[in-house]
Amino acid sequence: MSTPERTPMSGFRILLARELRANLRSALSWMVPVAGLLALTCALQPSFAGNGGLLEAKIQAMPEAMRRGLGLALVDFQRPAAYLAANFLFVSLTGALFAALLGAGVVAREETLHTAELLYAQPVSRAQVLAGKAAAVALYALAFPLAMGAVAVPILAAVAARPVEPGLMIALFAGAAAVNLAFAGAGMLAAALVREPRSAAGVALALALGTYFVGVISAIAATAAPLRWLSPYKLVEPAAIVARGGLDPVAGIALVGLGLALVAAAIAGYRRRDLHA
Amino acid sequence: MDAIATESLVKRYGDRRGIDGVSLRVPAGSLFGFIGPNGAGKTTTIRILLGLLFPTAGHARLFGRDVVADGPAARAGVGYVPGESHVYPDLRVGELLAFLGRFHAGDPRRRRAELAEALDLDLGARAIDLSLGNRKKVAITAALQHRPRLVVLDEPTNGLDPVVRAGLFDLLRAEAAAGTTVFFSSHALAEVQAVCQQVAVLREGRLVAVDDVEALRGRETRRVSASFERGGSAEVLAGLPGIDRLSRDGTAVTFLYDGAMPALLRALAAAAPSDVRIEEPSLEEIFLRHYAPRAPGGHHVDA
Repeated sequence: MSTPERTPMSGFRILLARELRANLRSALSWMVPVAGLLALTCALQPSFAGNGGLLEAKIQAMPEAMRRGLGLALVDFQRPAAYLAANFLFVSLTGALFAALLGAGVVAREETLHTAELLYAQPVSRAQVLAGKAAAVALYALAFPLAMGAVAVPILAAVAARPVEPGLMIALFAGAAAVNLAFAGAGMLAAALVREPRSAAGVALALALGTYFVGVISAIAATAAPLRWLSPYKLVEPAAIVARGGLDPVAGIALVGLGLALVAAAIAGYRRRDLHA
Repeated sequence: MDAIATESLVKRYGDRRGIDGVSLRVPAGSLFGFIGPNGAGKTTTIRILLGLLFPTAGHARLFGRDVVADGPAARAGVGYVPGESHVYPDLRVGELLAFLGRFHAGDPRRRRAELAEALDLDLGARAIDLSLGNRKKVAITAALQHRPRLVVLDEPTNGLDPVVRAGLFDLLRAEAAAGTTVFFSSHALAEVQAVCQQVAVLREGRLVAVDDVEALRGRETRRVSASFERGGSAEVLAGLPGIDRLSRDGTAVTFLYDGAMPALLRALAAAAPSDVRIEEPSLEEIFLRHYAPRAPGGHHVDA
């Protein structure tokens, strides 16, 4: 019996499946240690909350500008969401680094591994390839805060004396997800535009770290305050989310839109690039 | 319809020359050779055909479809064996071939198994652990598993042992017999002669000739080296018809020869050299002999 004629799969689906599988180990190697550290941090919440406010008083004694710069504007370790917000920096920063490096890696890797000749000689457009890769990166960029939330919320709910505020928790991790998406797009664009693919990871790393420090400086120096718009972290700052009672939807939408725009720019830039194997 | 058609194709890398005005037509169903010395622009031409590089000027079409404006459709049903075969380090051979097969219509599993058996390729091996030759086999299987209507091979025999090389040539002849167009790029004239019917000659980025392989074979050139350390006289050889580029180095002479072999052997016997070597010359020597501007032979293409 003859095999029925099969139509080719769309490049988007093929690349989405391929990149999800190819990057699973890398994603886990980022998520597991950070989740472990977050679990430890959350488990220690009663200790921080039960020291009679000594630690909070010490932090409050720091100059306000420095507290703002370090994301410690709101210090209330009794309240689980505020406690998490005060300790959220490593979640935000590692998530952004992971997303930026992943975004850069999925694009640059075809040239650094010299597999571009295999892949792009197939009957598939570069736009489809990059869209499939972008979708996989976006899923991992979202999976990162989702996994952190899945670790943090149950532990805080179990150990904290005061109730966990689910809406605020979701807002904190949604903010991190929005930052991750923006940096994933930035990483892809960096890889699409740099002349030397091996340097893409370095550029992505510089973007994720550089914009964080720009955000710190914008909070410390009043004259540098407009620079906060250059730092995605500042648009969804955890302390501000808790103080506000939720995520600023404009900031969230702006970051997601920025991520999409950067991916679109990466596709546009990559479509006419000469690929040297 | 032509499987491949290029018009005045130009590629420059900044100030560096890639190819310069290549106009080429490869009829569908043909076994077509593409030869030239290293750096002639063969790989550049192939990478433009496959959408990996963009031409500075000119056009290229596969089965009538423009490779830039309509790239994915142009590459449908095309198999490609790159000059250097690289693999994804996380995949096994079977997984890599399945991944590449998904981009094409049809079910490639049966043909993949046939090719793997013919090439003695272990589908369960980790691709990253393969030798250069086995990676080349993976590339050949990937290029042929979906029964392409055009297969483009860029120096496909690099890393293959003579037995596998012969097997590849048989495979290509069988593919061509089934209607597949074979575009075979090489710097080894003997390989192209073994497989192809027609050949295009590229030199310094320009197409200098398109010939039947038989015509090329009819102008076979040999490099002859003779030494006269223990007597004999090279003077007898100097007047032999068919000699070109004769050079002397002490007691040794070297020349290209495309005349009748019995005449050469008689002349060598008369010259009585102490040692003789007759070998295939380099492509560059053949090009200089047959395809240099104003040289006779072949129908020259204005480039």
